Parts: sequence; C-alpha cells; structure tokens
Amino acid sequence: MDFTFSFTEIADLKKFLEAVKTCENEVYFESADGDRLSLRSALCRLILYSICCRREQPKNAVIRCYGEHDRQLLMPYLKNHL
Amino acid sequence: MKTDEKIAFFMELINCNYPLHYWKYNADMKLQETNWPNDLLSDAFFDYIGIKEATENHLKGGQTTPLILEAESNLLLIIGFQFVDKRPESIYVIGPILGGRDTHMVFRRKLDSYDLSVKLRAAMNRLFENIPAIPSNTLIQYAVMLHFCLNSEKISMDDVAMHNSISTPQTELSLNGNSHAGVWMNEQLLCKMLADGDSRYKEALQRSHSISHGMKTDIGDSLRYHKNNSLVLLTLCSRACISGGMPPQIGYDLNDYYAQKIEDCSSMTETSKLCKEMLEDYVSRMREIKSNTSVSNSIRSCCEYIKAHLTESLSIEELAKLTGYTEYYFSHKFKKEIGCSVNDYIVREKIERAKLLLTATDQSIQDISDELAFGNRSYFYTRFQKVTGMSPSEYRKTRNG
Repeated sequence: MDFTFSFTEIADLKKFLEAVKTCENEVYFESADGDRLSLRSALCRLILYSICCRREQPKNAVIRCYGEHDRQLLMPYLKNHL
Repeated sequence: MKTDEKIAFFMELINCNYPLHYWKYNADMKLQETNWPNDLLSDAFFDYIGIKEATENHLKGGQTTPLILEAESNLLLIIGFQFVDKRPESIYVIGPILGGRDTHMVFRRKLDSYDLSVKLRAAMNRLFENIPAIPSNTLIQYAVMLHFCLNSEKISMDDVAMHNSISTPQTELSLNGNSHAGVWMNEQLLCKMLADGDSRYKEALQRSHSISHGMKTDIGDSLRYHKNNSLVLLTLCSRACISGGMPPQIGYDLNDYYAQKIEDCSSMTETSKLCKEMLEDYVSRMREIKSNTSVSNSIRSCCEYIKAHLTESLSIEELAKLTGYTEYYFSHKFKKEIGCSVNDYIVREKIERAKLLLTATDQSIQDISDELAFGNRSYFYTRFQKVTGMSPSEYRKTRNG
C-alpha cells in the first residue's frame, strides 16, 4: 500500500533524507514537472537537496512511500506531526 | 600580499587548468563570500553533505591542516583553515571536484536511468559536466598550497586529512580469528613456484583454493567478487615473477594488460578461464627467463628436484645419478653454474622452507627439523643460525611479534 504527502510538509529535509536511508521500500519524490526521484539512491538524494536549495522551490511535489513501516518511520519528520 | 589577494591569485592559477570555485566562511561557518555562479549545490547544499560537522570535528580534534571532504556520488571539497594567533579566523572551501576519471560517465548513465523532466535533467547534466575530475594527488597538492596561502606554513601531503561524510555501517575488526590458518604458507609456496617458473604451481594453487576462497568481503555481486579475487591473484603473480627475475617493466605491462582483460570479463567462467591463461603466461615467461641463464638444463632440473623433495634426505650420489653424471663431475658442474655447493644449496632451500613453516604454522621446531629431514635438532639449529644469524625460536619470535 502506498502513502503520499506533500513535499512542503517536510520539516527538515536533511533529517528526512537521513530517515529515508533506513526505509524498507522505495521512497519517491514526484514533481508536477514529471520528475521522479528514488530517494534510496544517494545521487537522487543529492539531486533533490540541490534543487531544494534553489530560489525556485518545487511546487505541487509529493513524497510517495510504501508500507506502514516506512510511513511510521517518516511521519516524525513532517510539520503536522510536530 | 594580503590573504584575500593570495587566494584570488591561487584560484587564478588553479583556473588555468580546472574551473574550481571557492566559498569563504567565518569561524562560525557563516558564508562570507563565494564566486560560485550556480544556485544548484549552494551553501545550503554544503550543510546537507555535512561540511559543518566535519569542520567542527576537525578543529575540535586540534587539527589545523586542510581537510578533503568526500560526499556522496564522489563529490569532493578541499577545506582550508586560516589561523590568526592560533585561533581559526576563516575557512575556505574549494570545489566542487569529482573524484575518479569515469565519474562523469557513471553520472550521465545514472541520470539517464531516472525519470527526470527535460529541464531538470539538462540542468543537472550541465552542472556535473562543469565539475572537473581531478586526480587525487593533484587535489592533495592543492590542499597543501591552500594551507600555505592561508598561513604561510609549509606542510607535507601527509598532513592533509581526508573525511568521508557518507555514513556507512562500521565493521568490527577482529585480529584473533583463525580463519586464515595456512593461507600465508600456501600463498608463499605458490609465489615461489611462480617466481621459479615451476609448473607445479597448479597443485599449489589448488591447495590454496581449498583453504581460502579469497577476500572475505560481501559486496552482493558475485562477478565483481570474482574479479576482485582475480586481480589479487594477478598482483601476487606479477610481483612474484618480478622478484624471480622478470624485468619490472614486463611484469607491470602484463599486469595492466590482464587487469583490463579481467575487467572486460562478462561471466565468472570467462574470469576463471582468463586466470588460468594469465598464470600460464607468467609461468612460461619465467621458464623462458630461467632458461636464458647460464644454468644448464640438467642442473636446472636437479634444482627443481631438490625443491620438490625438501622433506627427504638428499644425497649427492642420488642427485648425480638423476643427472647421469659422476658424483665428482656433477658436484663441480653444480658449483660452477649455481655458485654454491650441492649441500649448501640443499640446506639453503630447506632453511627457506623452515622460515616459512616457523612463521606460518605453529609446528614445533623439532617437528620442522624432522619434516625437513635435517637429521637432528642440533644440526638444524646450527645451520639455521649460520644462514639467518639467529636461532629458529628467535626467528619465530621476531616474525610473529
């Protein structure tokens, strides 16, 4: 089962990406422009972080994860959870 | 010349070869200035790759010399520290740099496999294409020069620290295991046979394979694992042959040739086949080298016979019979061609084997003496002392710490 949440909900991207490393399944970043990055890949995490450093932040992007275990793992890094 | 002027000049010199940029921070890691033109890989990105933590830890550890930071995807940065009155005043970061000649190609291949929009793919490609790949030696030299610009102090390349910001699980080091028992002994026997061009190397290799399956690393890729072990075997083989008299240039050229062939293999069957071919090539070349010396075939076969029968009590009479000469003629011919008497040669070879047994096994000295047919322990002691300058027990103690 997959879960999605808005990319803008992430409170601290650095900590969030650290948590992604311990996920059991794939975690994707999907943008409205059609970009789909598998965040388990080091290079994709690097790409995501570098595009987030730009003045122009990704709009309408979502994070997609699979399985309850990974959802529970990532939830603490979302703004609403804090 | 002020520090900023020195840095500007230094960057101009570097830019003659590589398009590198700099970031200047104060001691609290607040960005002061940069000439980096791209908003990708900005200052905030450096925070992600752990530049702040690495710098803090480096300074906390009392280190004043430059640091090379390695981030994910082979991305490297040089970090230099300027000290005023022994306190850090400014921190300069030079980069970004890619380590490894093929990093651009690997990056492009990976990027092609991702679902990226044309816009982002083009931006990332442009960005990475402009990041130069610099040999690690040059990189360290730049770090040394940066330190000189900042502190007018000359340091050596060894003073440059390296730090990896990629978190990897720590493997515990165990030095007390017995999982390599007998490996050293077999490896040395194999190397000696390769160096001598001895065709019995196949048996030694088989023995070696029966007790060791190569490096104990888990990389999750059988073919890669196989290739790594083949490269280790190739290195052992080339160095053994060079020590046995192969001209180093030929040894290294063959090494490079077979290393590339190993990398080109697409299956384990192919790798195994190539290893056999490679060993046979080295050994036949060694045989050729040995045959070009002034030693006659009969004396060379006699030497090989001695090496293959070190556990027996060998006599001149028996060896002379093997060559078909009289004892007198054989002894004179042997000394003339080898440079020492038959008995001295036998003892020398037996002592070499004893040295290996003393370091690679826990056999008692009496057992070693018996195994090599020295007759009695006292004779073994005397001959060992004469050749090595120390007793067998002292030798074992010094070699095994």
